[in-house]
Amino acid sequence: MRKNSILTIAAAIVALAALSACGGGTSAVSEQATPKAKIQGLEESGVIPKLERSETVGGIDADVNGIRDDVETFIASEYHTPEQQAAGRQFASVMQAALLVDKEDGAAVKAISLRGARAVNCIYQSFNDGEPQPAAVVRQIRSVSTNTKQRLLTYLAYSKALDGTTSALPEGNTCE
Amino acid sequence: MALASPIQALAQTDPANNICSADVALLFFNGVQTTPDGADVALAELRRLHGTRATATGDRIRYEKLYNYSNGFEDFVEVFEQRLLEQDGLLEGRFELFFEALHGDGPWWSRIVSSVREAAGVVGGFADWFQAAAVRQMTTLLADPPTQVNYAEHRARINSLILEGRKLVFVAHSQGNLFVKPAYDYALTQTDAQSVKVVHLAPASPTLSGPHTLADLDLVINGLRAAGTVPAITDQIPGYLYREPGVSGLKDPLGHGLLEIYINQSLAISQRAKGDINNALETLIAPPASAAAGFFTATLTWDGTGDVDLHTYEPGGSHVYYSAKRGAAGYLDVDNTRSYGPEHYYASCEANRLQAGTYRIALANYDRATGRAATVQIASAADGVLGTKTTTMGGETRSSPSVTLFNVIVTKNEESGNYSVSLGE
Repeated sequence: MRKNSILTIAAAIVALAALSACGGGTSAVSEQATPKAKIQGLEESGVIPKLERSETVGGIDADVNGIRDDVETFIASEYHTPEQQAAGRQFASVMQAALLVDKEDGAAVKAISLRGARAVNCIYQSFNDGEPQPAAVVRQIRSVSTNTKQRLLTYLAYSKALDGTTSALPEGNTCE
Repeated sequence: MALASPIQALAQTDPANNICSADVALLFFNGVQTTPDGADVALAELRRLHGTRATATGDRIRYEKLYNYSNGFEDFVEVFEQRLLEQDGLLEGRFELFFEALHGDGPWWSRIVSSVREAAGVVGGFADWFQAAAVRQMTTLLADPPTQVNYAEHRARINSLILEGRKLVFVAHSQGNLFVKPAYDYALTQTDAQSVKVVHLAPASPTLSGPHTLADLDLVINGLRAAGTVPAITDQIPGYLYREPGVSGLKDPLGHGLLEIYINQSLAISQRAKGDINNALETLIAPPASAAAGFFTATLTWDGTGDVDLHTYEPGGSHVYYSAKRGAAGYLDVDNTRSYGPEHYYASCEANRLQAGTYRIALANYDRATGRAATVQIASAADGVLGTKTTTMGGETRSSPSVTLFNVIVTKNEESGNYSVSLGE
């Protein structure tokens, strides 16, 4: 195996990330700001997601549409066409249902996983013209939906409840 | 096993009215630290690469996941929490960064580090820990691998697909390779090797059932060499700094990810996996079909001698069972009176025959099956397995069902004419 130790890789991550000029915007915070203030500046300017971190798994869903409000805001700002935003909301509603479902209820967990496959298929139908790639969209929405330790562990508990199950990726239009 | 003219039943299917069909099932066994939606993404990417029809044969391909959760996944969250507290808690509580961190970097991390250099050490340190943890996970699994298809749902699904005459391609990545072996061994008890093939991606065990791909810079699999034997390296990949990201936008410094490495079309290694899967699709021979594919199917098996019977009560009133195999909407095309099953009911794929409404699926211990564990799996053409239940049969009740396992609800959208199916209470 060619020599490429993990230490070298960790250093490479640091070097590459530090040199990277990629990004979706610029921070308005000055170079003299503290690191935490800079991070906050990235949030305020939309370079990284600005999310609610309340102590409940479900978070704030003021319009009770099954999607957390901050996730819905993220989708609206991040994805550009109505079709893409609708696909994003469809998957986000599955994520929220996965967080809130009784993990001991195998039938309910399974039903959500089938909705999830349909939602992923919908994303692949809706994000088919380049960037962002649908795989990245799924990861982004999963990530903002599981943005606290409690939510992330709850989602892993849902995932564990699906251990040993099987399902198909549907074809055709599965967008709601 | 008494077969009820399966060839005749299939010939009655009118292609113009057929609303469900597939010739090949590509079954994906996911890798470490994969969520269910992550496995669905893997299926979608495999479908992008291989299409819904095999190029050489024209076979229709369905993509299904046989999901396995990584024990210890929660530990990664605990360690990540500690990493977020570094640099005076700079990124404290920002768990939305977790899934990018699992792959060493990502667009959000890049933007953060561009502005705050101190953050770079947080994600780099996590990658350090991740490699060692992933190797420990795989070592634990290798030491005590699954020795049988111990997931009833996986096993029942393989059973049903073979019964329905489907060709099978098993594609396994990372820890999925440890689950594919017992699945493949089980499939070979039901059909021939010419009808089921395996493709291994990043396999940890040297015991292979088909061709494999392993990157030289896969630090998870190659990290296992110190503990034992792993398969030979097949391809070199560029170092992390020189690698193009996969469709996920991530690069994976550990050289182990499916989207980032093994099916990343910007890396030459992806051609091996693609070629191996295409070769499997082109060379599979369909097993003889004992049962028909349906809009939905109910497959019954049990764990020993005796006769358990599958009863289906259709929405229009037909009672379909061994004594009345043909219903208005479907057919009991496989009946077994001796042991283990299977029995198989399918609801018609013909739009002008399928009935909307509730199909009640029930079981009876006709004879000698007291105490048997009977398993019924409901699968749809669109979604794959909808549910699997196992029940212990009571005393003999001959032709009278003693237990209802499923209410299957078929709904027709009058505007589009499309049908959908789900499980009711």
